Amino acid sequence: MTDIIPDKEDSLEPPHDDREFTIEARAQWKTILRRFMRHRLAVVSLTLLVLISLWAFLGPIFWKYEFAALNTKQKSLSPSWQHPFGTDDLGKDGFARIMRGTQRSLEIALMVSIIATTLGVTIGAIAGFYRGWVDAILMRFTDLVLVIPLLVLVAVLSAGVPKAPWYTIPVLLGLFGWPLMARIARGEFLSLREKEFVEAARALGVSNRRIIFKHILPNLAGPIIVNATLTVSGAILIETALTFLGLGIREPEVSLGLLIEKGLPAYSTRPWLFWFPALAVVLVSLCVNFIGDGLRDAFDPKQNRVRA
Amino acid sequence: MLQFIARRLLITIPLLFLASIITFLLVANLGIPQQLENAMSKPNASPAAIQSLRNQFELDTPLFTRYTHWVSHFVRGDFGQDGQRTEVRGDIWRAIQVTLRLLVFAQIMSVVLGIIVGLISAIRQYTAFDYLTTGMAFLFFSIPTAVLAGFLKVYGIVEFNRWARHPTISTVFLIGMLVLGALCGFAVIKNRMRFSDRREPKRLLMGAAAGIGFAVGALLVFKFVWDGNIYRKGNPKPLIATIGQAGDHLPDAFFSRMQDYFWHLLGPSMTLILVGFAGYSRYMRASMLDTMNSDYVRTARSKGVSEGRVIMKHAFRNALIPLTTAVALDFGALLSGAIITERIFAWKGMGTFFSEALNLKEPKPLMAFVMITALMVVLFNVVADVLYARLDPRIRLD
Repeated sequence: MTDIIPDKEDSLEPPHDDREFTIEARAQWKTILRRFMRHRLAVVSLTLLVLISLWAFLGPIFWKYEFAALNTKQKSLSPSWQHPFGTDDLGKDGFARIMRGTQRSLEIALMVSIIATTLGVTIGAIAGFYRGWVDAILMRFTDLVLVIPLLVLVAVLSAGVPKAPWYTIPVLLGLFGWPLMARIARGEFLSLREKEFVEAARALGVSNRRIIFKHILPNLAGPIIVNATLTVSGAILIETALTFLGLGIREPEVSLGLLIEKGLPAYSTRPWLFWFPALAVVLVSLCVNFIGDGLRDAFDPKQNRVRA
Repeated sequence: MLQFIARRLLITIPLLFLASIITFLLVANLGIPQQLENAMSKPNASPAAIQSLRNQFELDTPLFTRYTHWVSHFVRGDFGQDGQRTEVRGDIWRAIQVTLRLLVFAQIMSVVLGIIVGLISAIRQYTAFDYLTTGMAFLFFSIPTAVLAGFLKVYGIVEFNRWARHPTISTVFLIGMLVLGALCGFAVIKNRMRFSDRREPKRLLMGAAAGIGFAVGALLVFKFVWDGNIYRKGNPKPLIATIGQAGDHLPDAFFSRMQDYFWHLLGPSMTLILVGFAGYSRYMRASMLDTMNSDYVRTARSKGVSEGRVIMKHAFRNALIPLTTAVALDFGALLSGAIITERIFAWKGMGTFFSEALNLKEPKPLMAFVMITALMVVLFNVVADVLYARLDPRIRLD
């Protein structure tokens, strides 16, 4: 008996100091980050997008040519070490212009996405949660905005302001680009508000505002973020379309859409003027879409399968 | 249901009314029409001519009277006259017919393609097929319509026409095709597409079939072009048109007229199909994956319902609900795509009608265009609502 007691005392020692691992609660954002990092294509896209942004925003400081500088001696040069993306018919350097264009296009896309997402989620959440006449009025308002296609609406609006600064285009696109987000948010709210956990919260006496923000909205993180990223790439595309019609960004300001519009007619004589901006648009928009896909996978709690 | 539709349609009337006011203000905001501006900038412009133009555009009447005048004519189907004093109604009707041909064809093709591809890639998630179609969808989703249309026209159709004039298959092309066919067969044999689950011989057979099918398909395309070439001997016209919506001298015979339409339709519709397919297949895949993970599908499986029945009867039908809404609401985006595509392929449709009217700041054609577009969008919204309610019994109609 006597030699058992010290043994027992040994085993009663608190074990936490010499344990081989520690258990740590994993915060939700960490789980999401881990899931996102598992989506290799999304991580590659994110890296690429960061590099492109750095190049577009910091590049002009170091590059030897100005994006608007004319050089009559160097008209229509094909790509070379001197001008990696060639020059246009006025001798403007393609590399500098594409840097500037990418920068503007990224800024435009971000602005549109932020404005449209904020407006859309707010309106959709209120409509879906409160239902009744609030919903009716807000949805008729949404219908009203949706009645005229965004491209047509912004085209007519921007044609009415002949000397508008470049940021009017993203502001207009954002101000009228929210209905899809609102409809998505409303749909989710309509179905989620009938769920048991909302009923439980209500039974506990939780306020409406808290139910909206703490109970329902986190469930929408996936759709919201995915749609916000889709809005970013959509904004890049619609800016291109608007500018292609001659109603978006105007010279001397530069965007990728403008470069494509100027480059397309010259496809046979100076193909580099079309190819490089087109490549830049597709690259940026592809990266954004892949990031959105990765985020969707990361946010979706139902999805547990590991990507191959 | 009928009551619901009737009520939904009634709601659209004030909606269109509001939209018309807003558009009228926006169009008035555009400033004086180009025609008047041109007349005024002439050095020897006569005041009488300018005044008659001002009267024609009703610039001296107050905005409100101008609006009531326009709206009272519009609801009676009189869309007014443009600056050249031609009736807008005839012009826009011709443009609509042209554009509808493109939109209907492209939309049907892209929805069908999107549903099929999305369905297969959801069922066969993370297979070679899934990766391939997902990659394609992402690519076409990320290309601006202008770039895609320009690319297809310049590097696709023009090059193809050049080849079709003297269709020969070069050795490089032949080898490339054979390699592709072999890869196709190999993928099936290695079961990368997971077409069959177990049996080895069946898989081999399917691999061989895929390879042979690919080769036969390539030969058929070649034969088709070759025949087209013989048919067109001594005809300088290119096989696939890149300009315009129809030939200058449309043949009277129904079949050859349709043929002419088809060759003109191919370029622009291909652009819209690729863009639409990309979106719809992603949508379909996502919502199909969603329903496949749902409880009622698990229940159906645990009851012992066959896999095919689970997919088609339980998952597929529910997965279509978000898609129908997306398709119906997509009309605006589709039209925007058509505006760009028409410009590149020089179609005289709605898009060209719109951009010309906007360039000339013509109020009547612009109003007619926006209102007809709005009417279509609104009708599609109603269709979306009705379909949504029909497909999902949980949606309450009141």
